[in-house]
Amino acid sequence: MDKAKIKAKLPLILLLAFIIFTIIFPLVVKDRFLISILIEAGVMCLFALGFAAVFRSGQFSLGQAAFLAVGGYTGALLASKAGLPFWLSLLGAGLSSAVVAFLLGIVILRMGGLYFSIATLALGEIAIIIAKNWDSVTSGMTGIAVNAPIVKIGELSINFATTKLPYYYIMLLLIILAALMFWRIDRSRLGTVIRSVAVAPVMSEHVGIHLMKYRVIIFTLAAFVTGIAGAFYVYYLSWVGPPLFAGSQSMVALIMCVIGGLWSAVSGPIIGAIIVSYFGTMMQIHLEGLRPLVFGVVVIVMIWFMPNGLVELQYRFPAWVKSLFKKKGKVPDAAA
Amino acid sequence: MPLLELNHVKKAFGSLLALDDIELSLNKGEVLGIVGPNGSGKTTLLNVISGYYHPSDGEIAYKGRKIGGLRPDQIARMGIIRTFQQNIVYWDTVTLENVYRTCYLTAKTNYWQSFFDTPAWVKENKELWTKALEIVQLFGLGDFSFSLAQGLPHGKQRSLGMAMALAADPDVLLLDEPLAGMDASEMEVVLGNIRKIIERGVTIMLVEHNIKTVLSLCPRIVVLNFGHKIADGSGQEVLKRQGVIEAYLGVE
Repeated sequence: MDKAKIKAKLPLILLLAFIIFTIIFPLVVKDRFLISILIEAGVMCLFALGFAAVFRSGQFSLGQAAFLAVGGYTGALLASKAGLPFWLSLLGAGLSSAVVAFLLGIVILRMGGLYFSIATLALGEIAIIIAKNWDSVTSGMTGIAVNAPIVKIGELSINFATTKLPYYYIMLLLIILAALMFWRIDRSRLGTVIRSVAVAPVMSEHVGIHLMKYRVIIFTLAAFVTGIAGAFYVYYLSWVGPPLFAGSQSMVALIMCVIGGLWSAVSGPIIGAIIVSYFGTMMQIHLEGLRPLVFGVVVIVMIWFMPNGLVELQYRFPAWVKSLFKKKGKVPDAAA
Repeated sequence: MPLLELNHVKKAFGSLLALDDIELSLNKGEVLGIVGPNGSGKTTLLNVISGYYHPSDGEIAYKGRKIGGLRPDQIARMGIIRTFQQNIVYWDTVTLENVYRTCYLTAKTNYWQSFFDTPAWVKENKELWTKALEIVQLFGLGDFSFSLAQGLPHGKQRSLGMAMALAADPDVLLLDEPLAGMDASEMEVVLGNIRKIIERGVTIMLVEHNIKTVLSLCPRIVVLNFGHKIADGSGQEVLKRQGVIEAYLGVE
């Protein structure tokens, strides 16, 4: 193979290497604390992917945590009250979240712009209030306990209570599936239409794109993924309660996307989610109370110097390396 | 039967009647110029036809179907495409992709085919890009194909706006002041572009301030003043009417 072909395949090779790395990682590094951070980072990955998808359709949702809550509570109820198996309650949680998003979306997406943001901000708070007060269903502040699932594959039965490793791999699978979906959407016709709607809605409308349809589709899809993330989180913690879905979680998704890259569909949110989750947990241990301050400063610095987030480095870094190897003082030939 | 027909169309903003009892018909292949002083309702007329506003009263029929009250995207899908007075472009991408994006109306493969990259979509996608490139070149934007649309000079952005409208395969094209804010050389280019659209057999409704250009392009002219239609006919004939002279120059 010639050099150009290898260079074209490089991103794919790097991606595969990264996936293999994430598969092997917990087998080599047996740090249980680190693994638990990574699993929570995985939940935030799905969450941030949903937020980024909605953002890229031109809507700035500040209440995505509400869908995390809908998914979480549905998952918990399906598991504890209805006794559904793990996979089905994840799916059920995703679907219920999507249905809620669809019904709310056809109303609040009509507002658009900042009004939509304010509506979703309220939505996040309303979700918490409902969770705290609807005692017969959500058990208020006590929350609902969820037993760790026991998954049977043929003869083999895995009890999730004894080891966290299955959570890690299921999370990895979910992220890969979600990333694949959002990546394909971004690259397909639908992605182009959604970008059109986000960038110039009036123009798009007058060439035949039904704005509401695409806004609702992407809002629903994002809620589906977020709902699954919520149910997974609840399974992982074996408990669901209002504190898990505080409105500030939606802001965390925003911070993740700003740090990772707000305008990239997949890589930005994932990178941002991993970094913010890891350092967030570390800061909680070492500099408790300073965490919001540090994130605030980091977000301002990022917006100032790298508005496209860390994914921008993929363009900046090679240029920087090249400039190191070039001889100093050599002026490029203007005539050439 | 006329292609587009307006029957007693009214548009009121509160107590202000922006359009009052407009009767208008547009035949297939016609190039109709709409002129009038500022605030006479020209753009409102376009907005009402394209579905941006709903008419307060009266009926708009297109190919025999009533379109008053439909959404802009429904009307666009039926073949009525408009351009805008402001330069609206997709700022996140290059000129060529701007035109490519508005070709979507003409695509036949569905989203699932595109999601899974089926051969049918790959083939059609190639055709769409080719079509976009053709239109970009037709409008003299070839050299700017890969520059960001947002960074184009004003005149080029106007041309791009028209290219995007043409890419959506219109039957009727509503041009909203395509010559606004241009210098003489830019004007020549845009006039040439409009003639190219006319050659394609697209029915055109041209809203414009500049009477000279309207006279040179449009065999038929409609004059609006304060929301009323005060004249309808061939260029020179319309200009001689007393009402038109009064609207433009005032009463002696």
